[in-house]
Parts: sequence; C-alpha cells; structure tokens
Amino acid sequence: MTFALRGLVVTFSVAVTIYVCLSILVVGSWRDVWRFTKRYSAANCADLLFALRIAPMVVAVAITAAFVIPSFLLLEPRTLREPIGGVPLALGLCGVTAIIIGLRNSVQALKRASRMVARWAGAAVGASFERLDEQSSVAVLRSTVSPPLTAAGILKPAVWLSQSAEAVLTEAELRGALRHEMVHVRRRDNLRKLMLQLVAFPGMMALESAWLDAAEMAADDAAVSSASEALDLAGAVIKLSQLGPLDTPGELTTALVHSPVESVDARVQRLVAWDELHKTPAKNPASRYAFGLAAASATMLVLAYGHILFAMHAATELLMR
Amino acid sequence: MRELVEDDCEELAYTTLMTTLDRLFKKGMLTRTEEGRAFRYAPRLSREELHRETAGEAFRELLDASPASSLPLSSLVEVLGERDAQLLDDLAKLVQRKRRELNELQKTRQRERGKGVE
Repeated sequence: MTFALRGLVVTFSVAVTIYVCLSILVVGSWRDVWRFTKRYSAANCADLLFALRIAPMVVAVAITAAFVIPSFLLLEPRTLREPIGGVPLALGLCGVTAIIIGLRNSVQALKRASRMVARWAGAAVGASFERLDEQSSVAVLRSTVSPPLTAAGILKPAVWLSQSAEAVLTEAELRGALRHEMVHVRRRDNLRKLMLQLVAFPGMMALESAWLDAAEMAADDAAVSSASEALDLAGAVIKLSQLGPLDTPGELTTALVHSPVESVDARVQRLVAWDELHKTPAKNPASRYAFGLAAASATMLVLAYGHILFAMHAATELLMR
Repeated sequence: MRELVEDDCEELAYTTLMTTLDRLFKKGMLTRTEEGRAFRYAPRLSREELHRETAGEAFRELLDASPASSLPLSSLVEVLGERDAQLLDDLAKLVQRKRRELNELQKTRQRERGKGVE
C-alpha cells in the first residue's frame, strides 16, 4: 500500500471515528446543556446550540489537521509497505462517503434555494434598502409570490416582503419585523443553515429545531429596545401568522413566522412580557472563562506537541492493524 | 407506597392504593423496583410522552375504523386549523390589552411628570 494511500486512510478513518463519537455524545447530552443555558440570553443560547451542533465536525477536522496528518507525515516511514486492516479501510470509506453526502446535500439545498428566490424575483414589484450597519445595507425586495417576510441568500442576503404582508402591517410593525430579519442577516443564520447541511448526522433534528427556535428568539430580542417595540413585533408576528397556513421554514432562509403555531405562541408571550429587565446585559456563559481557558490550552498544546504527535502516531498504528 | 399514604393520598385506604398501583404496573403504566421489603413505583412515561402515546393510539383506532382513511385526517387538519386560528386571536387580544396597559402607564407617567414641573 503506498504512503499516500495509507495517509488518506489514516486521516479519514481517524476523523470519522472522532466525528461519530462526538456526535453520539452531543445527541445524548445537548438537552442537559440546553437546560443549563436557558438562564442566559437567547443569543447566547442559540450560539451555544449551534456550536454544539457543529462541534463534532470542527473538533474532528481540527484534531486531524493538527495532530493526525503531521504525526503521519513526520513519523511514518515512507519506504514501509504496510498492509491496511479492513476496519480502517471501512472507516476511511465511511468518512469519504459522509463528506460526499454532506457536499451533495449542501449543493442541492443551494440549488433549491436559488430556484425559489428566482421565482420570487420573477414576481418582484419593487425594492428599497435598509441599513444593516455603518458600512453596509440590505436590499428589501417586494414580491407577489414570496412568503410574508423572509431573509434569503448566503453571500449577499436580501429580505423578501410580500405585498399582502406590507398591506396588513402598520408602519411600526413593519419596522420591527424588518429589524428582526436584519438580525438574521447580521448573524448569518442562512450560512449557518448551510453549514448544518454539511454535517448531517442521524438524531440531530431535535437539536437543530431547538437552535432554530433560539435563533428566532435571539432575533426578536435584538430587534426590540422597548416594551412598545416588543408589542409592535408581537403584533407583526400574529398578523403574518394569520395571513395563511404556516409553512415550515424554507431551506437556507429565515422567516419571521413559520410553523408550528406553538413557536409563535412562545415568541409572542416572550415579547408581551418584555420589560426593561431585558435590556440588562445577560450573563455570558463563556466569555468569562473562554480567554483564559484558550490561552492555557494553547500553551499546553505547544509544550506537549511533540509528545502528542508520538502518542497519536502510536494510536493510528494500532488502528491501522 | 408509604410516601403516597403519608403525603398525597391520606384519605385512601392502603389496600386501595396498593391494588391501584399494582394494576397500573401490570398495565405497563408504572415501573417498580424492590427496596428492601417494599416496592418503589415510578411512571413509565412522562406526562408529555403519555399524551403523545394516547393521542397516537386514538388516531390509529380512528384511521382503522374509517373506511376512507383520508376523512379522519382531513377532519383532524380542520380541527387543528380552527385551534390555531383561535390561539392567534387570543394572542392578538393579549397584545391589544398589553398595549392599552402600556398607553395608560405612559399617560400616568406624563401626568406625574407634569405635576412635578408645576
């Protein structure tokens, strides 16, 4: 077996083993983490749920890139013609298959989203621009066939507003609803949805659904700054829900309202209960310790890097046999 | 068993409770573990899981009983639609009420501020 092929099998088999083990751990434990983080702000909760969802892939790629590949390149004899066991070969194939499936899911989702947006664009009746931050703004496009209010697009997102939604909302409600979608654009929630397509794993649906709910609540929180604005946004959510049957959120898009109606109920109840307390900065679960922990981990990794490479090489040798 | 008699079910006879728990255990609603000479009973399902299982069972029976299986489903969709519409109406009323309260509060504050200036 050639050196390069062995390297590929080692890389993919280790990566897939780490990915599967961590994914199983996340599927089994995310609810406990979620319960713990409910005391923090919706934005922190959403960020943590998303981090949990993609952590298996990020950690697997990081460990493989930082330790597995260097240990193989530096410590594996190039002239050795070592056979590869059936298990690492099967694991390696699983890893390649998972990557292919993830890429295929992402491409298909992108194509479907593009077709959907092209259909809305075909019935576009007007456009304006909303300021996103100091330097940039986002296009708000009116269409006769788009959902009531939706942010779509990955690299250059736009907000789509249906004529019926514009007709039914008051000016204050429309402003609140647009601010909500702007938060989704700022938080790059559509890009996050695309990333989820890449890291498919069975049993993650409930975690993804919880993240979606938390992301909506985070956008609600960031879109309002007073009790009056909270009531405006709540009014917009109810009116748009009453426009027609609620759909599930479209692929790679964020909508102000979507099924189930229970999620609308939960959001409206939160907005109605809005008060000045919401404006007190919520405790950030990670920021207090994150920097110290990261610095300590980086120092330890640098100091022990050589030992880790030797240990990793020994482990991959065991796996290959 | 002893906990139930002492806390929640003081008025019921010990034997009645024991029989009821035993029947629920035999029907699979409760689990039990032996603790010394006694049993500790616990629900097999959470309230939410029980509701889901009961509803699922009822739907299955309904679908099996109907010659045209789409009929119960369309009725169910209709009922859910009505329920959703009612919920949204209730939420709209809640928002209106809250807005009125907020307006009242703002007027009161303005009046108090006006008095303070005078």
